[in-house]
Amino acid sequence: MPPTVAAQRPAAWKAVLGRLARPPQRSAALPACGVALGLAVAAVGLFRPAPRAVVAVPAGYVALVNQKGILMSDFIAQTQSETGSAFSEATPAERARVLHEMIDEELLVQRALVLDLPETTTEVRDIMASGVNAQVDAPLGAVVPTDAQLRAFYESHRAKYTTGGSMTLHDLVLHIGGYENADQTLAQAETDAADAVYQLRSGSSIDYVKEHFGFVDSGRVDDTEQLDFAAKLHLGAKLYEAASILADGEISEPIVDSDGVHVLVMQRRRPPRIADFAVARNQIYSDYRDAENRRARQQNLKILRSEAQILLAPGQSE
Amino acid sequence: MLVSLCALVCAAEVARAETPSASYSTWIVSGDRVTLRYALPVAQAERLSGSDVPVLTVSKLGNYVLQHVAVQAAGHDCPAIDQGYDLGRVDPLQVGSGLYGFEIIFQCPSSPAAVTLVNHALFDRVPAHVDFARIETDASSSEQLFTASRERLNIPESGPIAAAGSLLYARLGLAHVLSGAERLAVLLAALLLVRSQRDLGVLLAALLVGYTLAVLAQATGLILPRVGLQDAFVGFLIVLLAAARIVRDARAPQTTAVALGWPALLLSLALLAFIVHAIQAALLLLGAAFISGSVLAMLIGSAPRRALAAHAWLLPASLFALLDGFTLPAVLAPMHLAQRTEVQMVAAYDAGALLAASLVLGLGAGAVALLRARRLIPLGALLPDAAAACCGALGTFWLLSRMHS
Repeated sequence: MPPTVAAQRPAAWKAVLGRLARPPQRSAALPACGVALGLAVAAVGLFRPAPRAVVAVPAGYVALVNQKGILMSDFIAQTQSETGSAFSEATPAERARVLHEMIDEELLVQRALVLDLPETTTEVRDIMASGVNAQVDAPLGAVVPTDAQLRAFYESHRAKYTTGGSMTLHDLVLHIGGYENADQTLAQAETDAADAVYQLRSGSSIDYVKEHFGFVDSGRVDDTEQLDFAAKLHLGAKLYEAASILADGEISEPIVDSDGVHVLVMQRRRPPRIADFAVARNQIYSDYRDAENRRARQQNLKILRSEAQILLAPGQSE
Repeated sequence: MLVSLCALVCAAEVARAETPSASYSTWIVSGDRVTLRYALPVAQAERLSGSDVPVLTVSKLGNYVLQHVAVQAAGHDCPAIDQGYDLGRVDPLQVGSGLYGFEIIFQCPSSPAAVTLVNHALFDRVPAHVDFARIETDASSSEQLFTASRERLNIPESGPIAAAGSLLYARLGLAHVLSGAERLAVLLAALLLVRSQRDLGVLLAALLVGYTLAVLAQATGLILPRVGLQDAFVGFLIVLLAAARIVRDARAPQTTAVALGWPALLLSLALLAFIVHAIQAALLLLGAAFISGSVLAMLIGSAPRRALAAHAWLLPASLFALLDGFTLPAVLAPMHLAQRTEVQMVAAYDAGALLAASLVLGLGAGAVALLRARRLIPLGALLPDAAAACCGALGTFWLLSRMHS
């Protein structure tokens, strides 16, 4: 542009503005400016920017499926996982196959959302709930508990860390109304059992008691050593409770059960004992982690509930 | 005043904006199966089902849709198949906020030669209802319309399916203007300012400019209207046209009162909207106040020789056409159409709307001229003033009642 023209431009603007500012033109120019200003201000209220469709794959993404991106990092990880080698070593055909699979998966996920599967399908709901819990757990996984924390946890949960006890015992039973004495009552059987217990405690042999009072082996346990959990399983809760407090050589009081009156003769008893911290450390570590995760999940649910509006139908409770 | 009150009472029924009744369907014809995806706006769905509880609405609406759509092959209905689990024959879909969606799969006898798609939904209840349909086959895809007079579409055995013609969209635009109270009110208010055939021609040109700008804006794809505020703004335009007539034809005290009072009222409303944090509404009212003040000032200060300022009343008419030109794009938004396709539809629709506006204005101007020539009514004073008052009252009512939506 020639310098003279450039120099003339401000002067021309000034002349135009001066003319517009004079009364005849001013009465038209000012309203026109007002209209323009009004249109501009009103347009902000009347219109909004239209959402722009993304027509090119942005950096960091490998593909767009219905405007939803597939991350390059996910693609690399998936390729490495499927080929078992570094991404740079994967052939173009392998990469294409993996990308094809990922696009298929994205389409299926989008379709699942359209079908509202999270609301309608139990399996999807379970997986989603587990996914949220896993996300809550994740930050805790990065925190390594100290020995002091583990020891404090151990002290407050000592009962959990016991070594299993065992017992070797005889379980004698006097059946009521059995074949040999059909008229025997429960009271008579209990009296006989009390006598048998007295005899046993006085030093009589088991065989003598069997022969004299009609006791037989119940068949619930044999004469081998049994771990506590197995003994409980075989004896049942009622007899195990009585057996667990007997020491070596002790005889139980008569115990009435569904099949008759029992007498337990403890031959050898090794009671359970609390494991040392060092021995149980691995178990304590695992339990500590579980407890922390449970606490975090409860905390998460507490927050979710505080933000939720939950209405129960009349008569319902949770 | 009495006329204005009557107008307010009459308009109470139409306080809500007249959004066109529309639904959206996609028909995928593949082999012996036809998959239908049907979407309906929530407001219409609630009206149809008589319930505002979403669960009940979904259930009732699903059954209603199932009963009112069909696919026929060789003269027989193709049954809708059970989709497994506990879904039954209608699978509710998530199709975006503000819409209810359903999917139905029709199973025809092995690969039919040709199929007919049938859609009766809503036409019996809302005759002006339109279903914007997309038909997809293995060979092609096209946009179609189901209307009360067009409830069946035949899909040829082979070859591409013709899209709905521009004439159909033009008819929709025509009906849109002729059936809308607010649009007729704008045209009536504009007609009150027409004093000669030249004025009428210029008014039609202003409307043409507005509709053309709307199509061009649609072609750029840069902006979308805020529907609720747009409807309120149309109310403002009606008042402005009525005020323009008063300012142009009344004497000094009235002229000053209107020219100062109306913009001041709008400024007060803008301040109120700002206080209650309705920022978009506040901006709209502020812009309306500027426009009102400026247009009315132009009309007051204009002398006959300064034709441009004397025709400032054409601005609201043109703005109305611009906003009305965005009606179809707002309705079509859930379809996510290709821009080229949408612009073609909008151009045809707006052409229909412009034709309807021309008819209304032409007939109105003709009737006025006839009556004036035969001296049948006192057109010189009372009737135009009463009509302007009615328009002002209606416009104010619509502006205020739609501002919060």
